[in-house]
Amino acid sequence: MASNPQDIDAIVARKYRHGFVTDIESETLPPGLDEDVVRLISAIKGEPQFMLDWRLKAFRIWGRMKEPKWARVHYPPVDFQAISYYSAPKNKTDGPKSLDEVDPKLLETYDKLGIPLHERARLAGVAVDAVFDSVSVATTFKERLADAGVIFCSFSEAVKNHPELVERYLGSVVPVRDNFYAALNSAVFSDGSFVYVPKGVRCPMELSTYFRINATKTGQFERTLIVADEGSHVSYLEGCTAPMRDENQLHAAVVELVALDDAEIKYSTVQNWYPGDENGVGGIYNFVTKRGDCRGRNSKISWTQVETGSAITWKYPSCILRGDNSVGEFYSVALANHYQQADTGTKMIHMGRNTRSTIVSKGISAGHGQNAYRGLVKVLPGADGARNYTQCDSLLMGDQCGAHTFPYVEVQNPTAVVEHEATTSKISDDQLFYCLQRGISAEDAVNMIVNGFCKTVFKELPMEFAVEAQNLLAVSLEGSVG
Amino acid sequence: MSTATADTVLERIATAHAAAGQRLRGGAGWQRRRADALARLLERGLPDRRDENWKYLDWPEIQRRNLAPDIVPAARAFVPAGLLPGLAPGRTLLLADGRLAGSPPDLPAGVEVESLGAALDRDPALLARALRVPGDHPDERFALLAEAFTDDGVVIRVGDGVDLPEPLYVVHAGGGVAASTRVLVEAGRGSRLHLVEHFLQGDGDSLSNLDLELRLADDARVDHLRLHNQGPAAAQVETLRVSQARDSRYRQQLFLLGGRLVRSNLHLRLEGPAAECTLHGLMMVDGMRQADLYTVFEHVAGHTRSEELVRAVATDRGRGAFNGRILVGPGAVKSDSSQSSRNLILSPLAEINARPQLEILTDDVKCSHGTTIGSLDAGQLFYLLSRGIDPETARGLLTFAFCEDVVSRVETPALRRHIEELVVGRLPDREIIREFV
Repeated sequence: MASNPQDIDAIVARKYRHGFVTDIESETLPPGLDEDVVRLISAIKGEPQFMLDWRLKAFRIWGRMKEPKWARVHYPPVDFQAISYYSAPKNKTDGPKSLDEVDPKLLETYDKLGIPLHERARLAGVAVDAVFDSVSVATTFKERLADAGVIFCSFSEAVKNHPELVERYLGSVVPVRDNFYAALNSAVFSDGSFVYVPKGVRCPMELSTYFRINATKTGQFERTLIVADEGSHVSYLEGCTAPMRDENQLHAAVVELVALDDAEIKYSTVQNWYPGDENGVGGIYNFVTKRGDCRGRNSKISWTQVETGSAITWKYPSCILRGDNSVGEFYSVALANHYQQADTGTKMIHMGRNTRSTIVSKGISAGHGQNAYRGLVKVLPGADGARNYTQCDSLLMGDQCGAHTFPYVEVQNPTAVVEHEATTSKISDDQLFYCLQRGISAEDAVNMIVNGFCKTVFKELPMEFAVEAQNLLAVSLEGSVG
Repeated sequence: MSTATADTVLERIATAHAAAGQRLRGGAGWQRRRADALARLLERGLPDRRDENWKYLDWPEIQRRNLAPDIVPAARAFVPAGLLPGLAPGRTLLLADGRLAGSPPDLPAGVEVESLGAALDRDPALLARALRVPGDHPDERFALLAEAFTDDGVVIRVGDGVDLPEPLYVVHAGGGVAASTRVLVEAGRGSRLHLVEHFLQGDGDSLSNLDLELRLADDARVDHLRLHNQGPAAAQVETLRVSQARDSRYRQQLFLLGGRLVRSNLHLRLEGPAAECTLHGLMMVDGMRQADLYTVFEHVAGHTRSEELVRAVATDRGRGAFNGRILVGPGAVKSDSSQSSRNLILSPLAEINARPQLEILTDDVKCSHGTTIGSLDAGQLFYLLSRGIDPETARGLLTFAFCEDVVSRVETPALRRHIEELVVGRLPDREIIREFV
């Protein structure tokens, strides 16, 4: 935490630290989207027929869908024909077997990001499947995971090596016709991560993926599928940074989680994509579909997210609580500074008996930022004994920003207990005064209060992420206070 | 009739409008206004399930009904059943099928009551200024329908500084025909009005549409009690638009206890600094009934306060919906708003939907909302059982107590007793509860 005014000035003046472009030759398709592009992507990736059929089906459905307009976000229309739908580092043909084979420029990029793969991976005990643009180029700790029977690989590898698993679970949580961006993703997704944890296995380490958007004007369409078989446990970390660029970039990822009987999946995200400059120019459009299916009895899915980046964030990590006694959790901190817009929240669909869900959402708006929580808690007639607790709090800093709450609570079962609470306020003058008269500077006091406001969410994050998230929040907020 | 589509509903409205056409009052200016409203309505259509603010409404039940208002030449004079006991005859206005029946009662100096039809004949231009043209938003489509058929209703004006502490009753009665009525209430500076609206429409295949505009000038105080106790097959959609000037106080007590389907829209604008408003509501839905309350509290000026407390009880196949929006505009600094929605769901086929929403565009505010949906508290139930009270009675008592929180706020004793009686009558074990209360 900054301790004197000079430090704070330095932090305020700090430009987006991760903004740079690595100069690597890319194999990129010309902009535009039609059926041939979909076929070409599938062919480049050497996919089996079922994948091509699935992509084409998604593309045809997407063609008939309209772009949704209901979110409380404003942006110029996206020209889907101006985007290039595939980009891969050129030397991918054989795929590196170890870090030595990875392009040194890539490694340099990771260095700048502060993720020295070999070191950090060992120190933190984290296996990193780094997605550089659209093709995974390095995977570590594969053997240790393989010993445990855990499959953790890029999506393309999964399609090649485990087609039966992919065919069985792909699209079973987020069907192709789910929404406009999910359909688009299904048609053109280039790569992503695949995790399968077999029966009764507790994944020996935290799984992690770093996403970066690199080549200019390349929309990134990631697809993540995590399957936790009976009695297994897995924790997955996702962190994102992107180079600085003036043009808006579209990112439409799909994440599907499947938890079978007694399985548990913990999915954590720290999202720090380029939010645009202080005048709202540039920045990433982040339109994501994330959904978990608690398919088995006693299963649990927990989403934790810290959203500080992106010009527009539009995501609703959701849980379908299908199995009896299943548990869904959603912990979120969303920050909207400058001209950022965030419309985020969750859906908890209670279907099984004695299903429980917890939602804790903390929104912070500063500058001209607009922050909206949008959530649905639905208890279906069969969900006897369902229980939900929702808390969404908003903190406002500055008179130009906005905080909005749009919860839906739909209950069709008399044994359910559903509670929803929301508050909106600015930083309390009393708290600020208390800190100041103890000799703490205004900036530090605000930082401290904001971190306290978010504490219930941060404590759900894995250790290394929690520290990163706190720092991120502090840096993202500086300049907006005072 | 049950398979009517949105298009045929609109066609019927257009036909009815053409038939009523020249008979509607207010001269050429109003003919134009009505024609404009109809054209806009036909172009944009009624809202439907796809409109977020209308999604929980039972649309087949609405489309099954006749929405095209019947413009009858004169009001039927009759005494509806279910009137409040001990009403002062000089203080009661009867709107039969949307038309003011009989001549306005004698009221204290400074209070003017006139039928809207008479006002249209007397000074159409004045009324054209006083009644707002509804906007294009789907929330205002039923107001647009009322605008297209503007012909009768009632105008109540309370002069500056006039204090009318005794309630003024407006009884909405009728049934069988689709009534469309407009009510305009203007409370002058520093005036005080206690308005009671009682809905007693009978059964029928129609839908009554009410449009009410209420304006509070500086320092005005209006207590507004609205008791819906329609027959079990009646249906009503109402649009209330309330605007408040500086330091005014508006309080509404809303009881949605009747009808097959009642949809109440309340749009309240706190336009002047330090204006305050309160809504206390109770919905009880049993049988196949549906009550759907949509409120918008818009804080426009600074230092404004709003409080909203809505309770709902759903039994049998009853469906209750609450959609409450609080908007705090960029200029509404130091505004304070609290909203609470508590819901009891007591049978496996009942349904409660709640959407408490906050939209806040400035930082120096205090806003909160809370929603709970659930069954009776097991601890409270156990306490009563441990005192030897049988389970049915205990459940009935707790449900009554849940409702009583709203009912007990009614200050006029006769009214409170009447509403209590209606509430008990809707409980499953009414005989036993009566012994206790």
